[in-house]
Amino acid sequence: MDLLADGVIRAFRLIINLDPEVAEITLLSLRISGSATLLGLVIGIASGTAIALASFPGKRLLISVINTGMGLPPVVVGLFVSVMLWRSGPLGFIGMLYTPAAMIAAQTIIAVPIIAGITIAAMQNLPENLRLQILSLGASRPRTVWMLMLEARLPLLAGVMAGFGGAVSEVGASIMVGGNIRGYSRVLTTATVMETGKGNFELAIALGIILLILAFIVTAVLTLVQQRGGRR
Amino acid sequence: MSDIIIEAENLISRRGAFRLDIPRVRIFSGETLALIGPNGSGKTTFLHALSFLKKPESGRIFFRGFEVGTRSDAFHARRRCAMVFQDPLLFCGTVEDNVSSGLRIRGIPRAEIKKTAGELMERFNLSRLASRPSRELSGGEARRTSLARAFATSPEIIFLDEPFSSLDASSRNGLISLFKMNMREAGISAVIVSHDREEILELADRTAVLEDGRLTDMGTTETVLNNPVDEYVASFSGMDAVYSGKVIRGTGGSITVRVNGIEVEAVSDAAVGEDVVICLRPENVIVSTVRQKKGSSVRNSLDGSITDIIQTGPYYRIRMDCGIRLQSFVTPVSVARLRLSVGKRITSSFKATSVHVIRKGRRYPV
Repeated sequence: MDLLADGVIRAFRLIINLDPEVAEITLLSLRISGSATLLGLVIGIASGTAIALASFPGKRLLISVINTGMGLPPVVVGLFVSVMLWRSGPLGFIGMLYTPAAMIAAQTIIAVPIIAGITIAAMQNLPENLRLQILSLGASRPRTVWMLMLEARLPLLAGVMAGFGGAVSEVGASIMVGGNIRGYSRVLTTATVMETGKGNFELAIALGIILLILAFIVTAVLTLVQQRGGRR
Repeated sequence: MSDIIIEAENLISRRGAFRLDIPRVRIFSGETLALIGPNGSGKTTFLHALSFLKKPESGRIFFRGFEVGTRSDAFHARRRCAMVFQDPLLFCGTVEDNVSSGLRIRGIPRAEIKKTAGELMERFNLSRLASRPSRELSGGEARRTSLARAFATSPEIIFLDEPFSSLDASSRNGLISLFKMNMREAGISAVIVSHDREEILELADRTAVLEDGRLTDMGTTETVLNNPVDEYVASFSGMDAVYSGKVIRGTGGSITVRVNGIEVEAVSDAAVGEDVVICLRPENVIVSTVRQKKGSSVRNSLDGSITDIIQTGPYYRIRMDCGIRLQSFVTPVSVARLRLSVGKRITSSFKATSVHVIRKGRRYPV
């Protein structure tokens, strides 16, 4: 219990004292996971909406593939991105391995199916004739899609929160493609793993608590946006 | 009723295995056309094609004489129409947001939107609910909002898919009156899908009957309902005794049909041996405790017994088993005088001319 209590005390000390290294790690975590969520939001909501509204052969199969992707193991994503970005790999010429950009790519791959899967479910859950109702009011097709998204905004924002959660909490892929380089690609999760490995539990607990606070703040902001319009 | 607002030719539309095939239909300015037919007969598919919401597989549709062929044509035609679904399908936001949604989509200036939405809310008794969130509305209020939203864009024609169903009788009647009044004021056309006879009698100038994706009858509502083309329309128009039978005798337009082992006389051109359906309205059936005297013009007298007596408003509905099940409307005075009770032996009588005969397999040309 002492270990846990010491960890909590140390966490708040680090936060209050604005420890420069912890602050840098926290900001980098926010930047990388925030960018990945933003990219995941654009790709996930756009592709999810298109898949939900379109009719094409193999639609159900594609949806089940995306739903499987919602539980994509981060190490597999890390392995895939590493292979792609490896010096002799197909995208090796970019020289992106062990950079924050590679971590953003890996986390985006994790976030996209989560956001797309929830978007598909949200759009398919709208009343069957709502699209026709909007069209009948004189809306163009792009405007119709936009109005449908507005109607589904509660579950869509839940999807974004889940996407951010998936991105910010993953560790396997970040270590594999980011390298956990101090002051460059070290984020809260990778730092926590490292400190735990070193037996430095107090610092690991402190980093874990900061990660939880960060996740809470971001989701709280998204929840406020989500609930502003109230329930339908 | 002279200008044609929408005209469709050789319309074919598919929905899975279902096929809608309409050779020709015209909707005139200012008229209300009702679409009736059993579930799955294609009413909604037809409505979606006519309202330019779903492109038919083939065929041509004209709006005010111009062919609507491309997506852009359909978009512009839709802006001159409105649609009200069975479910009000209100958006998140207030009643005013919903009523003004079509105007906002058209990019109309804010002040004008406010004015028009205000007028519409007043016309549909929604002014006091203007700032109420749509999710807090009752069923009737939500329907009124949905109707006000449709009228707000000043459409030339309004399409309605069972807009008054699943409402209690008083809300429904109030909403129908409100709709009728607004239709009259706006002087626009309407196509309404309905399963309710009273609704159609009150609203529709003409009625089209759909069955299995084809138009089987079309004409003035009175004509269509008084001369049912099939069993569905017969039941729809209030003929509750609908029986299949075979013509066993026929002379000079007078036929005898054998139904359930009994013989019924009717007036029809049907030939001997032909399968027909006979239909009767309860108001044409007379209940008596003595058999009709010979010499009466009543051609059908069937002995039987009363199976049920139900009070329906100011009169009684008497159900009888006379070889075929029949119903009759009887006043409380007659029930008392004839001492009608369940199980009592009676004679039901009806004229041959009050029996409507449907010739099976005959399609009425449209």
